[in-house]
Amino acid sequence: MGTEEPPAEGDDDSPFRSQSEFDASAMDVYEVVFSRWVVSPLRVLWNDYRGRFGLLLVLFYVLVGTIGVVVVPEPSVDPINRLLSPLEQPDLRYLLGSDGVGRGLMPLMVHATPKMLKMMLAGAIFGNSLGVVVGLVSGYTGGNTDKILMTITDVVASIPPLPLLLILAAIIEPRNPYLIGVILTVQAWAGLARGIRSQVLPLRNVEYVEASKTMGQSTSTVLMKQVLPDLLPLVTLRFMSTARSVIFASVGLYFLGLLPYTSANWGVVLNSAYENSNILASFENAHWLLVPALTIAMLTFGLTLLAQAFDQVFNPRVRARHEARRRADVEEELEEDVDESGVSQMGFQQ
Amino acid sequence: MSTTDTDEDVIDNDEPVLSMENVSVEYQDESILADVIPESVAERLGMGEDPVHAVDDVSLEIGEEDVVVLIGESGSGKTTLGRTAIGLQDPTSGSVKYRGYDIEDVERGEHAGELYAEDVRRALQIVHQDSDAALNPYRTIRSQLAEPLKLWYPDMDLNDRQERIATMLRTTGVTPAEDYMERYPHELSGGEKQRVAIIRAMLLEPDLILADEVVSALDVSLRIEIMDLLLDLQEMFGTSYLFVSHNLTNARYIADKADGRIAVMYLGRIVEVGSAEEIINDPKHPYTQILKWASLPLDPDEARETITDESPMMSEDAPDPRNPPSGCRFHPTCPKAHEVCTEVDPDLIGGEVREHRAACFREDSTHEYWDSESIHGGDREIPL
Amino acid sequence: MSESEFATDRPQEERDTILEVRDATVTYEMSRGQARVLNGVDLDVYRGETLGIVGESGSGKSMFASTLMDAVEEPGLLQGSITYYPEGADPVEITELEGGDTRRLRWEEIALVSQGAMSAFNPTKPIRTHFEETLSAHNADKDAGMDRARSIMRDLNLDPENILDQYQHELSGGQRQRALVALGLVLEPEVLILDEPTAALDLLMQRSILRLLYNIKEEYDITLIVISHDLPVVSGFVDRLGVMYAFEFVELGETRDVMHEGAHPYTRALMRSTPNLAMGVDEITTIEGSTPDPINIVSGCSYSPRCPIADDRCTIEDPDLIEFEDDHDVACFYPDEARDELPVKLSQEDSK
Repeated sequence: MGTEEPPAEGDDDSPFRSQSEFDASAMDVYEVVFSRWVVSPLRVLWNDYRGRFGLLLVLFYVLVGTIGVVVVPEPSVDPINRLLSPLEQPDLRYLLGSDGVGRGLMPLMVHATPKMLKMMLAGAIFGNSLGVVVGLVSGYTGGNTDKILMTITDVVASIPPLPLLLILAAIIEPRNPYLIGVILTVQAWAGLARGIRSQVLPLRNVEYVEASKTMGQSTSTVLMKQVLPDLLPLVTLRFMSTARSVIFASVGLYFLGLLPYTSANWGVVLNSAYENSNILASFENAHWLLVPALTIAMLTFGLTLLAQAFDQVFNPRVRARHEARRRADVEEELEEDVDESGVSQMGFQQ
Repeated sequence: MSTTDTDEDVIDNDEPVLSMENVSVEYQDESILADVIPESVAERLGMGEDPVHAVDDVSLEIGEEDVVVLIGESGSGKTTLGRTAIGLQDPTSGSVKYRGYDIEDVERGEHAGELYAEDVRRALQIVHQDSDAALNPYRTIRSQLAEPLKLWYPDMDLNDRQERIATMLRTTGVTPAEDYMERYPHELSGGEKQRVAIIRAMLLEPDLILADEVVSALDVSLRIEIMDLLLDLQEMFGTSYLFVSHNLTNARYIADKADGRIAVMYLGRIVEVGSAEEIINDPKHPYTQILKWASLPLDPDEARETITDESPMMSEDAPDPRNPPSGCRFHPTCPKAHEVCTEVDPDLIGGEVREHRAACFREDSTHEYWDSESIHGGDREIPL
Repeated sequence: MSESEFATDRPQEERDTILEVRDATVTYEMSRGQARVLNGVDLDVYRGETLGIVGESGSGKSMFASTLMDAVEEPGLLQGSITYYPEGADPVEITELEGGDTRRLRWEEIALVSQGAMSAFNPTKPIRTHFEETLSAHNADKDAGMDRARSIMRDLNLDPENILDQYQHELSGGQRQRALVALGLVLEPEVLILDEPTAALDLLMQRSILRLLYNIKEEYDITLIVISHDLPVVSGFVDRLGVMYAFEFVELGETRDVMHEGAHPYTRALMRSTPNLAMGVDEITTIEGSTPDPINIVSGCSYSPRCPIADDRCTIEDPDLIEFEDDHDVACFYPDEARDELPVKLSQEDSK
């Protein structure tokens, strides 16, 4: 080891002046950014069986919600075809059977999907973003800001959830699924804010954060680049669990009559099935209950798997192992690809 | 940002790079209740305990390509003084000047047109003791080293940054550079992490780097390597160092090799300052002498002899920075303390700013110290 | 000036073994492969001696201390034998002890004061509680035990009335370290292992503690094992010195011999790289190369990649720790060359 013969100051050979011979084009930059922030995490997720399965499941639902709604006909009431079992009729609509008023269960599920997904997305994004921002600012800034923000947070968290929901829904009368999602998570951010704050507190004075501040980094950048990465596992997990809880919370709204009854909701169909299929007595109409139950369960399962797999992306120890394995593979392929400057192409590939 | 990638210093004048004049730093320990009520109310109610006098009336100058080592034990204020020097801590009184400009004035914008707060911020950097905590565990080495470049050298593009980082890694012996750039901190050894932390500070080409106990956590053989590396980088770039250390042998190594100075601190004051040779071979202040006595020799026979020596310290209790002793703060422990030492606190005596000085009345042959009675029943010798 | 001799000044026959370690190996299964963090160590510890173990971080010294108490944490696997010879009783094979017997061994016979005195005490309980709990966990007489504790604390310059009722955060680093040592001694063990007793302490406090430990060593009839990466700390304190590198001992012998007449290139390199006020700064050198990896065990002598006098034989064969001179074992094929080629200077009077 040992350092090389130090060149004199001001010398163009000084390591403090080294620059590349080649200019990076905008294309190069996009390529690198895309590869680092999109391709690399996706690859890590794909490599893990949970990630793969989770990604596929979620993708499946997205496809159902986008293409499915075009392909599958809308559910319609049909007294002749009530309570059909799956595959009883050779009709696409009744592939999974029908409910008590003759609506095909598959069309019901498919056409509810976009609304459900919108609700979950809106709820998860709203609940978590607000929680993260409040927790970050509060934990990092400290002082009076912290005290005020936390007081507000605690007050919001201690409001009884059901009455709050009733009042909000009665006043706003939401129809838009995005709006419904937001209303359902109007309190969820408070718990997360507290959790985020406690995780941020020890980071306030940690050396690498101080180093960043010392080099002149702005507060917002320090928060984004230094503090946030530590919080990502928690945030991802919460994102998925908020999405799940939105499904169930939404059922309540419909049943309390705060929103006009609609069958475009898996939970509502599930509940109808429970009440009207006589399930406690016989399994004859079990399909009515099972179809929405499984629909909900599969998505929940997919989201949970995905959340777990994300840990591989965020956990540096696991990520490092992935990258090391990849590097070893890529190295073999690119052994001949060293360009004149001596800097291996590998340095630019992720 | 107001600077570009040039060789020239932002300001070019005859002033020292950093000068601290009569700097004192005090801070309060907060009581628990103060945590839940607004700060202004807490202050009005007079809550909180006695302030801790971490640094008391210290003046120090650091020049171009200079090396100053602050040595002391815990409670000496050396870390606080170091952090105040580079602007991570505001002094309670006194002034800290960067090239003649008071830093607080610059931050208020009073010297707009000549010097801005960002320039000062960039010129004063830190390398932490704990290399594990100094690097963000969630980011690759490359992304962490790219950060200062992106912030301060916006003209550099992706390739340039890559090249600069790779070169610096190679220069400090972290090779193969391309491999290390993509690694996460946990994949590096302690010495490698410390090198990366050093590079991160160096990339900004600062005028002064605070090296806060940077080798204390490393193995003995690595310490020398890192200290040599810092000195090589100094030759390459010409930055100054302010080292903080609690180990006399490390302090001596780097101060000697760099022709720098050692400043011995005790309870918030500088009690002696001089070159490595002067401090080690001719320590004047009783505290320095005791530190030297306490540094164990390597030779087993010599070491065995000294272990059983009676301690020259008059008191084994560590003094409380909240309640420092009156007069010379060292008097309860000092084997040569006299009456006058309990009343008056000596300043650094013995010459000009860059000469060997000690804050002890014994340096002044005409001082009333010599007429005053010993408070420990007679002066004792400090075996050296 | 002390009147005590180095324990090794006593004739050989008088020294009997209190701990016998044979082929101690500790392995961990990791995703990268199997890590060997202790590699076939053979060692005898003599009754009443003070043995020092030096090495850099990752050399295996703390792991060695754990094996002596059979305290290797899962999933580490300890193999080999560690025999304890209590005075006037049957020898005990430590690795075969179970449950209550292990507990009895630990602390009553062999105690360990570990690194990181900073977090060894429960911050929610006063110091007194730790002593009381230790005494009752070992069914010892509480009153007699607390009296003993107080007397030990006084020997260590701690005021028991003051210290016992305080919480760990109210004590200074030096006080905490001493309180830990007192806790280790309260059950009157035969062997006390001190792992980095002076790390993280201020200079003056280090000095005080060493002197106090020295007094303990003189007054109490106890065998001490001191582990440190800081050579000056052990050099005047221990009778025999063992040097560890890459999870095994590379040299073992009387302190004077090992330090002045070190026969292993690593030992000599270690002496030369330890900064010392008596040496000129230009006389201090570094050790080239990097620390050994417990998974990729180098073939042949583990020091060979960094050794300036290594030759082909060294990269193929791994030297055993064998007796080279009286009471002086070394694991190297070329001890004489090591002495010739690598000068060591420990003090200003040295002209070797």
